[in-house]
Amino acid sequence: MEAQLKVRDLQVGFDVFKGHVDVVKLDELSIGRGESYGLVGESGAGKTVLALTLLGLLPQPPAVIHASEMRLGGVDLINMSPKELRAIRGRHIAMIFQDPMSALDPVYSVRAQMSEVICRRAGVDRAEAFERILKYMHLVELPDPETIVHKYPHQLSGGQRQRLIIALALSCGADFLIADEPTRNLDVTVQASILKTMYRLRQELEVSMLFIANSLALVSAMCDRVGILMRGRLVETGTARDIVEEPMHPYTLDLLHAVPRKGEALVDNGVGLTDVDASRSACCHYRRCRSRGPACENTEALAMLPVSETHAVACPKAAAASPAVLAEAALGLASAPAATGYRVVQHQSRRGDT
Amino acid sequence: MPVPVGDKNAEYPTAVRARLRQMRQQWHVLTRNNVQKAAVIFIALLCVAGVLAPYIVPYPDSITGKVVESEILEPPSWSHPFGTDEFGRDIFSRVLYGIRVSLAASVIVISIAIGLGATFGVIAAGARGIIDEVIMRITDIFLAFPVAVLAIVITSFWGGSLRNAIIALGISWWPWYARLVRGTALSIRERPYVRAARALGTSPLRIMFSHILKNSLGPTLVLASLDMGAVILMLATLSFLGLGAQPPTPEWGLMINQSRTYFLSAWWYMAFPGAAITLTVLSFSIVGEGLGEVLNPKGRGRG
Repeated sequence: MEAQLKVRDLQVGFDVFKGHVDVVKLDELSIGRGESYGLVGESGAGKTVLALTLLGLLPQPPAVIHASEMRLGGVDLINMSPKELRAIRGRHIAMIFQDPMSALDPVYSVRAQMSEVICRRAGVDRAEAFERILKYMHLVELPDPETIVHKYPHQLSGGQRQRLIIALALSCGADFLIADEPTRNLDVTVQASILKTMYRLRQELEVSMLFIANSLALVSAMCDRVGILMRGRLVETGTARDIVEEPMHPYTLDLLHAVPRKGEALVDNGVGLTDVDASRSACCHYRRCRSRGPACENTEALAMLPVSETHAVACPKAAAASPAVLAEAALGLASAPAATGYRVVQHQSRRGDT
Repeated sequence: MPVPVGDKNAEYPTAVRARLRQMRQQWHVLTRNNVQKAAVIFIALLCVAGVLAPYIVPYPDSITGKVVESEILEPPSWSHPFGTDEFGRDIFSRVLYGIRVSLAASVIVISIAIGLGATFGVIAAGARGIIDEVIMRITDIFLAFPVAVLAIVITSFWGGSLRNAIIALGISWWPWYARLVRGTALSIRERPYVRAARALGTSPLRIMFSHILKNSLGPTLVLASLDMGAVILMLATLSFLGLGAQPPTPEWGLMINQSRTYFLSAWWYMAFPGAAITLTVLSFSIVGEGLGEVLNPKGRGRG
């Protein structure tokens, strides 16, 4: 698959009062055209920082960014001037922000906000822009666009606003979308229907998507491939099915087990995100890993170890312990990702209907 | 030429209707209680009277320095509702005409202050760093002097005239707006919608002036309408001191100054211009508070 986004050796850190903090450290991340990539991690894992880095929205300083390669659609993002970056934003890359309640400017009506973007991007007049606004509002399944278009953000519900934000992101013709927890603060029914809309739009418009969330269920429903991010490092990557059905990294297992189930005690491994002992192990999960062994006390940097064609994990112990997965991969039984995603989406909306 | 057909402009009636409805709501919020309603009506009357003053003053000659010796210092009567002054001029005509002077002058003063203040404030908030520091220290210098003292110094330096008084007040008033706008802008530039606009590739200049400035304007306009009263008062003060409008301009403060000599024998000479100042200043502060509610989009209610 042709890579729409390609990132190699990305390091993002912040100069703080006491020296320097590394927030994101990625060896490789590539997202194909029309592909949807899910990024999962706890809060503080560096998901949003990664998104802002890709958009060029992190102010430097305090941020310090190093990368040996960062390309979007073949265009080099590293050596771009702020002005060039601005031209890329909106036109090729757009972001759907976490909080739909405050991502719209309260003093402008829906129409004014949308035509600001459309007029500037497409260079059309007001009447033409208006038709496009209605078109995009239809596209994101907003009911009664002719009425809503004249309203102000505070007059709309959270779900309506989030749909508008999606419309806004799409209306400038971006082919790479970063969705940063787009359904946080929304209730499950609205969440399900918005995700369904996004899934459909992604297929219809063939946009690539980086979908950020802290719920594995959400991501496996929406995405072809999934990366698990811990302290800014990818610890496991694979197709949605790889991750959900054959999780390998102890951290991924922890994430999956963190979902409360009936009749099961809640797991709390008791170690905060900040407690990392770099002098004992290069693995940032070491302190709270429940399956760690003496071999884990190794301060050499961990590489991603492939366990199948699509699946890789940054834990030597887990990778070694999965001959079954290796055998399956050797037989070419790698899963079809899109089918997985769709199945879970339907499951979610069924739950939403009740 | 073919008649344009189709829905291309069908949106406008809806838009106009929505705007009208919004204006009705704003009017409703503004006139929710009787005191506010009275203040709004009073200011509306002032504006109308000010605009029409040259056509409705009963004694146009009284505006200039024309002396009518037979009617000097007459108490209020049907022919002169506010009485006459020491030159036999009709005080009602002069108070009426004074609206024009006071309102126009204070609108200009406020415009100068907002123009300078909002621009510098937004630039300070947007640029941060050294530019911010320099602008804010300049406002500190200005704010170290009371407005009255600063305006008196400037006008006495340039010589007293209405024009100089307006410029002096504008110059001594802008730092308040610069600070207010900077403060609001600083909080607004970190709001998610500003970040969202940035993520959509909106240019920094556009973000600064269309998103940040427009969102900081609510508090600014409230301050402006509250200040209207203060500016009118300040202009009257300067005129009273002989540093503002010069005779025979029918300016309220100047009239009060001239009436001092006759304070014990002709109460009406001081009372009516004084009442005009009091009521106007009071109305503007009441309306200013009401405006605060209207301009907050959340106060508009459901549409």
